[in-house]
Amino acid sequence: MDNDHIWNLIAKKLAGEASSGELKELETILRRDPDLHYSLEALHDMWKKKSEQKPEQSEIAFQKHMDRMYSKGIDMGSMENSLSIDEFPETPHRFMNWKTLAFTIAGFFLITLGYYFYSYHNPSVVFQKPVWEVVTRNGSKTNLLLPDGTTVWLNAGSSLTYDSLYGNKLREVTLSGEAYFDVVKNPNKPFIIHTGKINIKVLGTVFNIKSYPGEKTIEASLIRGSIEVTFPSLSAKKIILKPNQKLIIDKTETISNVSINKVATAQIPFISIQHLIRYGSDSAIEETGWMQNRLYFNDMSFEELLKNMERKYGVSFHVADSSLDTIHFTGSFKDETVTQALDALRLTAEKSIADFIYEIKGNQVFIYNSIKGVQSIQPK
Amino acid sequence: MPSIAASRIKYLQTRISRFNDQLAYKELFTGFYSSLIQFVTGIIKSRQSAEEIVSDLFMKIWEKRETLEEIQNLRVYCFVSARHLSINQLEKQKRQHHADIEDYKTKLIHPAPDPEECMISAEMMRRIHNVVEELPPRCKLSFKLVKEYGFKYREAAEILQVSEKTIENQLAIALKKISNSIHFDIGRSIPVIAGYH
Repeated sequence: MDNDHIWNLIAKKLAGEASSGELKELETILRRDPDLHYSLEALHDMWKKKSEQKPEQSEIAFQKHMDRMYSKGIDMGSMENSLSIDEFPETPHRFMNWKTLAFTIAGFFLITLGYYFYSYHNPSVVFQKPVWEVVTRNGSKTNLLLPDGTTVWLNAGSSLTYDSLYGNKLREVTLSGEAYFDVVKNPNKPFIIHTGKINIKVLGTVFNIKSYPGEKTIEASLIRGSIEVTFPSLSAKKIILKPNQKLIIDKTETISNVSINKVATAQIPFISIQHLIRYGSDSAIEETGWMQNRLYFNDMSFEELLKNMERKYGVSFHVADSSLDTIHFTGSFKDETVTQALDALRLTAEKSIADFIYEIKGNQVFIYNSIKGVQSIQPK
Repeated sequence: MPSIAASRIKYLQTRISRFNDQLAYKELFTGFYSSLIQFVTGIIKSRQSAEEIVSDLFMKIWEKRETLEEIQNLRVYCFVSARHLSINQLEKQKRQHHADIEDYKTKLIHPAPDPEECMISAEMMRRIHNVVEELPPRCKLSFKLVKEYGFKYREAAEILQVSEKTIENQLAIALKKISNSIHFDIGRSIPVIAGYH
């Protein structure tokens, strides 16, 4: 038998390159030559063991590398104190139709990478903590993979921040806006989201958080697992959410909560829990429709709907007459352009008492009550 | 073994390419640094030159960041480039010193024994390490690429610009020699320390 062939098979087995046929062949050979067992076992141990290496000072090396780049005149932009803002359009596909193209043009990404360095107030030790911020502009969304494998889909007009301590003891992020989280399970390192006036602690789960500044409510919708919502203003208050439940916190209303011993009085937000409603055959839920570009609205006020449409389309609405805010709409938009969507809304509104006309100037949309507005502008 | 998961590398490529993301660039640099510096040092035997080569390589990555996303396997790409840069450097040295690359012997680096391991195991590892260091250059590089850095045969072949068959053969030779050195120890109850550095 070809002696080298055995070593070839053993090497392949160790490297994970052996086919099932080769593994069988090796087994047969080993049965005939038991002496080889010892070698194979020892080699197996050796293979699994990482050769001891002195840890490379990669941080220092990186600093040296940056200095070298600087000395060669390669500009990295400022890393220390400024925000570097990069704006770029999503590349349109060649086979795109005009509708999608219009949407894409509206869908510019804005990502702000913020490197803030906090100095702790210790005169002898200056501790620098870089913070990473991902920001999406209206009309665009992005997804990101956190260092532990947790995936976050960030909806339009939102920002997610985390710092270099992420994953050390805790996995902490701060959210403004809307995001869908698929958190990798790790009971030793709880995942905590700070948003608005609440903290959400999870161990490993899938859920959607909607918490835009300037909106009346914060919503947490749980798809799988369980999450714990706490209120920093009130340490005793804790809500555990179960799958298919949605927590709605009204930021505008608070109820006074007098603790039992009447020492402290704290304000807690007004809270309600609803069940998630699933639609159609794919049992889609309204709350995560944005991930498929779908905007669901269920008895939603015109005012709130326009805010959602601003995010979806990357436009700004200006409503001249607040009486329009009282109209409520139910339905969904997906591939419609902003014009098609507005026309659909106008037709619906016509049937009710109210009626409106609109005018698009660039990415600004002006909406008038048709009776009052007709004097000031001409409909298109 | 790869220190960054393949999916993370892809993600970092995107971040650097689309957003000029310096933190992603740093993560890539620090993640690849150890294995690249060792790989390059294994070829050119000069720590200082190795540092410059790895730095040059990453400079190139930053400068061509716009097309970085197109690279299918960035780890393989880095090792291929690192090898090219090392060979260029060696040729420069050769012209200067008329030295023969093949005559270079690796400076033996003695790893400190892990206190958690028994003496025999540590001694055996040291012996294996020495056997590996004494292997012919191509054999040693093939072995290290597959074992230490976790590359597939196909990838190692791409990095060293040889056929997969060559990698197979080199690995077989390496394992045979290592196995012989282990056999030497059979039946001995006291670890052999003298004679091995």
